[in-house]
Amino acid sequence: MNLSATRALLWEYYRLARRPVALLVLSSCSLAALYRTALDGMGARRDALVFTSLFVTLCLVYLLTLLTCRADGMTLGFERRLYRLPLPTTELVLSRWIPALLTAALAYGATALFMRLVFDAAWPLGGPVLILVSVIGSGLAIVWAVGARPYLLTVIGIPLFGLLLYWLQPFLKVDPQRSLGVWKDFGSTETLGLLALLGGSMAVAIVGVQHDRSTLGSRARALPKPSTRRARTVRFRSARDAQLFMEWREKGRWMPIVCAGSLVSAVLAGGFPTYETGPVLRHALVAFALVLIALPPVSGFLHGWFDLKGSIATLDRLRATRPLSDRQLARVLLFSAARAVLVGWCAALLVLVTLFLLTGLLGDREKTLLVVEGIFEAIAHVHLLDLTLFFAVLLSWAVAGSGSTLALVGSGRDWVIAIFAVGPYAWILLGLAAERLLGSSLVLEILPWGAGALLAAIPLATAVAVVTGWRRGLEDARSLARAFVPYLILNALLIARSPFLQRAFAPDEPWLARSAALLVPAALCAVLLPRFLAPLTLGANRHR
Amino acid sequence: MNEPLLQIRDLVRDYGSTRALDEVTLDITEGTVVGLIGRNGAGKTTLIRHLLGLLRAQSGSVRVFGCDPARRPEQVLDKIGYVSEERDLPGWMTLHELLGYFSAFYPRWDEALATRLCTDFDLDLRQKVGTLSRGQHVRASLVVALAPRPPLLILDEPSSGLDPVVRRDVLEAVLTNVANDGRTVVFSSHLLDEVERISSRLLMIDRGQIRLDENAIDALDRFVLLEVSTTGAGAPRLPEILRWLPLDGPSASPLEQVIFCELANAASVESLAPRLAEQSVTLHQQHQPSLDEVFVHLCEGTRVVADTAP
Repeated sequence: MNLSATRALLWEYYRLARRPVALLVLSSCSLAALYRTALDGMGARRDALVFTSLFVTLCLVYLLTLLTCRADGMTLGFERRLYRLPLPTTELVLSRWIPALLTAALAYGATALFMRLVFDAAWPLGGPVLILVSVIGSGLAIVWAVGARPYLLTVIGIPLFGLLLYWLQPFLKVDPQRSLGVWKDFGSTETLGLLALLGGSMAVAIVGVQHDRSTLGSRARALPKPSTRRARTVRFRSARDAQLFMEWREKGRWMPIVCAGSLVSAVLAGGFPTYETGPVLRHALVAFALVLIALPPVSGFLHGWFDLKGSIATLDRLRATRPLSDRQLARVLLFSAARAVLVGWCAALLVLVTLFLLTGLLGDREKTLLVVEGIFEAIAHVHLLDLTLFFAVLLSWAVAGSGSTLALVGSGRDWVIAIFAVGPYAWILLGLAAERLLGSSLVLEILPWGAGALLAAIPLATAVAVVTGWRRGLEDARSLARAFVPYLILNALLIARSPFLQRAFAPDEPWLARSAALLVPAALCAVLLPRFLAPLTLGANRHR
Repeated sequence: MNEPLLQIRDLVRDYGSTRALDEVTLDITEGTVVGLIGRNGAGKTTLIRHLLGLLRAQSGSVRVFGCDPARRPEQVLDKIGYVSEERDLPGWMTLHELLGYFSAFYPRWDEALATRLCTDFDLDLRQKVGTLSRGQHVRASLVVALAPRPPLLILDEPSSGLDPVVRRDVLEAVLTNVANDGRTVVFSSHLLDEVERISSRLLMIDRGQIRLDENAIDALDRFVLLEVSTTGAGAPRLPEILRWLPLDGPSASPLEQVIFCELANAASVESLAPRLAEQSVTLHQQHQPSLDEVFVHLCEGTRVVADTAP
């Protein structure tokens, strides 16, 4: 074995992985803490334990697969640039495969340590790590072996994952009071089984990559021959439509897939151990709520990060040289990001409804009907205007969440993105850790002040963006009127109908009145801010 | 006199402590084919990025079609066809999707020209861009750059790493469709024979400054290579000879037995010959250098003779 070459590859992996893995650990700790808190509040500690550990496992699998594979938007697989190195395939594979497993184990270990220290949770460690490395190892092996054929990957991958869960089912169905026992109950047979899976995966990975490496040359030579048949050119009505088509194909279409996949994975992971209607539906509702909250920033991030393979968010040459103004380009991206959110939400809703129907048909029909009736009853008592306002608020969140994220990430400035990406996680973790460990709620006490500063900053930032855009000729009077009037009406309706705001404006509750006085313009401007900020930040990225 | 299509005034660009462009001033009129040459890192791509509005002028000004491309990109970019050395077309698009996508941005898109070029280049419109070879990718880039019939075509080292057949295709397409139409081309390349063949004006950048800017034929006519030999055992070597000559300009070691001269007039060589003879140097032959030779000598600061008149 060429040790210096292997060391060089390991160093390269470390340099590539260190920042994403740090972010991964932060996010998995935050997610675990949030799930734990949310499900604990619902009296479902058992679910929380099993669900969160598995959910974090899934996140790690997903992200590490992305990190370790070639993901160029067309194919998945082993990084082919490494084939040029004068090393045997076994060394190449192991120099990627083993660090990925170690990284996953370390990331999981850090999460487990955090949960044990902060929440005093009986967070399992040994068993999940063994499962995690087996799943990641076999996942990487399959992706490297058949990654260039995504449909085959799906056909092979999903049944294998189902089989694994089925096999693990007895170990996950345990008494929550002996939660650590879940994993201690692993017998030597199961441990040996997982180790055998790991060994088999390694062999598959080596053989698959060897095959890919040896056939790469012949495939390159066998390029499709030019056809004599003339293909009809695709037509777009306008430049905006053409750019929207591109954004959808490159970014937007992944949103419904990610949403539906996350929901199914969450329900599978959380509901499978018990396979009872109650927990399954509860997990589905929690996961759906998370999708509602998390999708706008995710979509904004994806649309604002122009080169997914790159380490910085510099606007790519193709977009930068389109004959569109900064404002037109920003509008297209904002529209695409918000549209992707709505489509993603619809996909998640569809999965949720399907799940309700399936649990109703296959599981506890009476319980499902009760849940559905409860939902309908709750909706029936809601005033139509309130329901409309609820959807308007959702829509506003789609626009504000995705747009603000896009405007910040689209600036292409690393420090802005770093603060944005790490800030919320760090805040959550610091707050929870300070409260649990030190008994101090100092961080949480600062939260209202921080929120107040944020609420005050949003209208200020909007005003600055409007004035700057106006001075640079990016905005005109008509554009301003078209932006402000609908949102003014919407917010007037919001204030008129919201019981909280009506109470808040009451003279006997001055602190609430003050908050509301900040909340209303902030909510108004949060929707408008991206519209005026994105052309400026994208312009700064485009014309450096 | 035509109004300048491109107008650059005192353009400065710094990357940290490195000065990429140093007070560059330049006018390019309509119908000119400008060959942009220079060493790696000389500032060619930085200049092109300013023309496209991808970089904002830190100091000085850039006007393309009378507009600042960083302030009004939409008014400039729809008149520019651009081919870069990078594979920056989206790999997931098929070629017919690519043509449809690009045509939406350019009102003057010529469908017939796009189809003809695709046929000439043997491009299969059903093929995905990501599966194209490097040569095919450049051809596809050229199709989408030429089909809008842009008044200005910018080629940023399109031929680097390509085989001679593709290089010929690129040149012929540019000559046939743009240069011969009287439109403007800015052609950056390291392949100087291509630049020499296509350009009506040569622009050489070195360390962020313009070192040479003139008509291509005049530029080459100004230089001459003298093949000489020294006689006698005690005869001095060429570097020493050069120091004795009454010449301006930087002094450096030339290739043995060859003197590279920049001449002020045709009679200069004749006036130089007696002086060389005085130093026991025999002049055997003189000939016009190629652009390659001019480039190397200018870049390396070899003996450049400003004026040989006494």
